[in-house]
Amino acid sequence: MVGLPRLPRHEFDRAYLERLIAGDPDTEAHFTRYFGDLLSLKLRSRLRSREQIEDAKQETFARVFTSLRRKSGVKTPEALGAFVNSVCNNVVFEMYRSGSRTVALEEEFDAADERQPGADSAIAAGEDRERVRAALVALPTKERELLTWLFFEGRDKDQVCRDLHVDRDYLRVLLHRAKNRFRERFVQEYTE
Amino acid sequence: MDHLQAVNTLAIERYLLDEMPQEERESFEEHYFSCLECAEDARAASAMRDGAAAGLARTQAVPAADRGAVLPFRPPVRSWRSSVALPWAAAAMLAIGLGYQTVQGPLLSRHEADSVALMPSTLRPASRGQEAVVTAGPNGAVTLAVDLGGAQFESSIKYDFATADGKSIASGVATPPAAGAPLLLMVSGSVLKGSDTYVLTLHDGPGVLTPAPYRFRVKAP
Repeated sequence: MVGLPRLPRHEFDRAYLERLIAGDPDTEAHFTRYFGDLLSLKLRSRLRSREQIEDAKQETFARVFTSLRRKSGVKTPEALGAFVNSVCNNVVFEMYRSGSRTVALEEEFDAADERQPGADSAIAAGEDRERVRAALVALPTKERELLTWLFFEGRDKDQVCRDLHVDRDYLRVLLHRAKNRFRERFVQEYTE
Repeated sequence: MDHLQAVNTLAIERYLLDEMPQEERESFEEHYFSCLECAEDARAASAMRDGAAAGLARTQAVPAADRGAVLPFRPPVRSWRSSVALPWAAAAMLAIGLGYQTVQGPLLSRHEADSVALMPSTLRPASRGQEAVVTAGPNGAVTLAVDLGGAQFESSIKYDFATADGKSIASGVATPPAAGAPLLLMVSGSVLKGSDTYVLTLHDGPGVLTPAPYRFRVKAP
């Protein structure tokens, strides 16, 4: 994490918060995109379907915007992320309580061969999809295979370790290297 | 969890690999929602995983696990709604068509592949816990029509073939068929060796999909 290139971002300062409360379209777009990615990552392990994930995200954003405009919930700009996470926890808890299906989502829930990135996905937009594709294609073949085995084919991780003659600790290291390389390339795609 | 802990313990990697207990997962989430560095890392990791899950990291058009081993077929959704007979006929036609496209390498020699008829052997719910006998096709390949009991599944289905003593011989992921339609799987004869009886297990999400695995024995044609 330290030393890696950064994705384009805004600073969450008082001015950002004020623009958000005032309904500035660019700031709102950044906010929903930025936290939408984080919420998707979080919700994938908690909700079963893309529709549920999208519902939870929209409900979270609606509650956050309502709280912000009532000047309640967020005392300082630095607390914005924690507040969004907290609101999301409440939304998920209420979905659980209302009897929604809450089985963990499979990693490879995109359909085989007819696969489409979900509405929740960070790669839903065509432009981003191409950036992600370019960054993945630039990875060494072994790393692409590893990512495919883990997240596309959903292979058993212990079996992957046996196939690669590595233990689980080293599997994390391999994933770490692949992620760092992907991130470097992904950032380049943004800046080129 | 603080930033140093997140970095030193490869938190995002363990998070992606679903290796964190719930308490640590929640603690890490609290952290990455507030830490700009970790949030950026999490967003990149999320994009990478979503891209890989969508098949964008594949080095070949066909997943390695499916080449010459197990081929899942997904019948078209609309065809299955009006009758029981039609879906099975369509599934058989699809199996034949896809079989022709795919079995030339591992299953048939090129000059044998002008046409091939596949006869799926059905594994019905009633056969769970019992042993079905299926007939091998060309070069020992077996085509299975797995009756899912009419249930409809939203997520993908993981399938795993193992020998009777539990040794996994082939596995993969299939898109669930439409309600009432069977899951069609073709198993290469090359992997069906060394055992008389095989066990097919289907998983949906974290649990086993069916109350008992499907057991079958392969009979020579």
